[in-house]
Amino acid sequence: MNRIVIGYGNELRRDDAAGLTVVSSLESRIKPDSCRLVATTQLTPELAFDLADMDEAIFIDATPIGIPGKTVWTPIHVEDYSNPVTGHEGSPGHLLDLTRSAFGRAPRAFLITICGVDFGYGEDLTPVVQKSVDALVEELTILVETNRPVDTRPEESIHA
Amino acid sequence: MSRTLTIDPVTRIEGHAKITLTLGDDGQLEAAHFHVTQLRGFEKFCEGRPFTEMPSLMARICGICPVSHLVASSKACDRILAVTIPEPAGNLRRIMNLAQIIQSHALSFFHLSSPDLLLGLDSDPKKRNVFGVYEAAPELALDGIRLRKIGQTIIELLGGKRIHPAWIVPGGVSKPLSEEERDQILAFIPDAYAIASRTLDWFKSRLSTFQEEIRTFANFPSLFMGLISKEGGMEFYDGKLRIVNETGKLVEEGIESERFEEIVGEVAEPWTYLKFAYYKPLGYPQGNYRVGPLARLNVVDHCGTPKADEEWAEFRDLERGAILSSFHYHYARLVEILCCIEKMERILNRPEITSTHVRAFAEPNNRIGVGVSEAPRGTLMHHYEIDDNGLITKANLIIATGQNNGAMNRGVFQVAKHYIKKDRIQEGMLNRVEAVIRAYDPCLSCSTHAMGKMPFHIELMDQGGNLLDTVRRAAL
Repeated sequence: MNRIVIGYGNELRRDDAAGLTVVSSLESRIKPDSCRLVATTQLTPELAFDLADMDEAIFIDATPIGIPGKTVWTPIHVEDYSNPVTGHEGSPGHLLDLTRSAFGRAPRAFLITICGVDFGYGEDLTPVVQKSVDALVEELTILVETNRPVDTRPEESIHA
Repeated sequence: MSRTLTIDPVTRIEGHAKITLTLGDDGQLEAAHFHVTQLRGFEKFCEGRPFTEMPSLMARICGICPVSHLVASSKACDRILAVTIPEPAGNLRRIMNLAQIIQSHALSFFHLSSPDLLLGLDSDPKKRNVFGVYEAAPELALDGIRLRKIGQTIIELLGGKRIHPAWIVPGGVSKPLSEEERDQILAFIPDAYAIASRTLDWFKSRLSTFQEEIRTFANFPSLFMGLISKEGGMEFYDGKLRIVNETGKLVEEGIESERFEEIVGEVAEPWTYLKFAYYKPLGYPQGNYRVGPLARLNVVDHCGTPKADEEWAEFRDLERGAILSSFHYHYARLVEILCCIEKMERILNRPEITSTHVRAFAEPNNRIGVGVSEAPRGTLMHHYEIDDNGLITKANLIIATGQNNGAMNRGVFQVAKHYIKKDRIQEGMLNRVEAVIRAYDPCLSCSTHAMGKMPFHIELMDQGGNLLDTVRRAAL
């Protein structure tokens, strides 16, 4: 299975770097060819090339909404994103829709969000988010090493 | 009875902007103002910082063109150190700068402007976006993201990341280029050439359909400024400043970076946070000038690379003298993409490009440092002054968009004058006002809803505050 993990956020805004931190941690833990890893500040249209030949895409981002530290996995349904992308702040769904328009297909995809506490200026994660990042890295490492798709995870952990 | 027409908000420039149009007693347009309504403050909050931090700080002015600020800032720091950086380092900086221009111009042309150019300025706004381009011309759309990816990937190969790479530093660059990396970049060149050539052919085939826009889009006499090489050719990294007038006649040349303040002045108007630059000998506002792709192609004697030179010659045939219509910024961007690809290939094939000698080290030796380079949007100047401890006491940044501010305001006036009749706003005005701003590719574009759907709301009021006419378009 071809899989890509895209972590995105601002590395200078504390918990907003959660997705980036997950990806950089995975880089040192998984075999280079087992999964494509991308750490980026924002989702840009040219990522469509990276997505085009993938079977599965996992997007990781921080969110200010929810219970601090809570990690939520949500499937992305591309058919829900038929509106044009704004270009400046593309969401995973819009990016996948762009991929589908450009290449005729898009991978099945999931968005993992970690609820952050502090999005102020700084380079370190808050302890509660760091703990969630560490746990997510463990889980993703196992998923990648066993080459299992995301939807083999326990059903109750994936929010529709 | 005089009336004021307000378009608010026009954009979010990492912030916001609006337009006001004032009609006189006779109902004719008297004035147009493009108000930038948010303060950035970089010049002020850098005071007290070590000068060595400036490139990293300045790169964060913009997420689309951080490399441009890295280049200009590092050049200013080189002057403070009083070093001549190793030639391989200068060439490596050039490669990153060229990649930056390629990806930025690709963004502007393919993502921001091609929906208008392909589908027409009066087409359905719901379709006038990148998805509409995919439907109507899928190869054009794919070419756009492919070209942008090439530019971004080169930046990432050199600097370690696509946005805000920290690789360009005072004294040179932080790591050399390996042979493998050089070969990876060279492998992109054929595809990049093919895309640039295809797109130029496509655009030129459509020029005849834009005669009205060419005539009305900020089409007026002005000065033009840009850097040129020793041979009078296109120069994005170094060189000296040259200014020509609307007939193409030379006004000023041979100005070294550190002397830019002899000819460039700045004025702040009370109704906008974006400063206006002007050519000092003519004063303000007579000395308004334009920078960026159109200006660069007007000031040079040639591009200096064969494919681009052919295209440049054809471009200059559009008019006698300088090319005046700001609509032609789109055309100029495509010629520059081609020039950048050629220059990059030439530099990469130099044997010393993989040298490991890529940085000069020194302590501060000057209190003042000035760095000037060509950013995608135009000439960019960084001027720093430091104290005995190497801390910044003054930072003055003259950004390309600010230098085009006078022209943008004039462009809005021209378009509005064409489309506002008495007390009614003509259909198509919103799109044209938006499009004339976008022709300059200001940093404002990244804060507009980039697929041609600025959240415009225009109200035409009389002196008594009575609403005469309204046009509204919601944001995405």
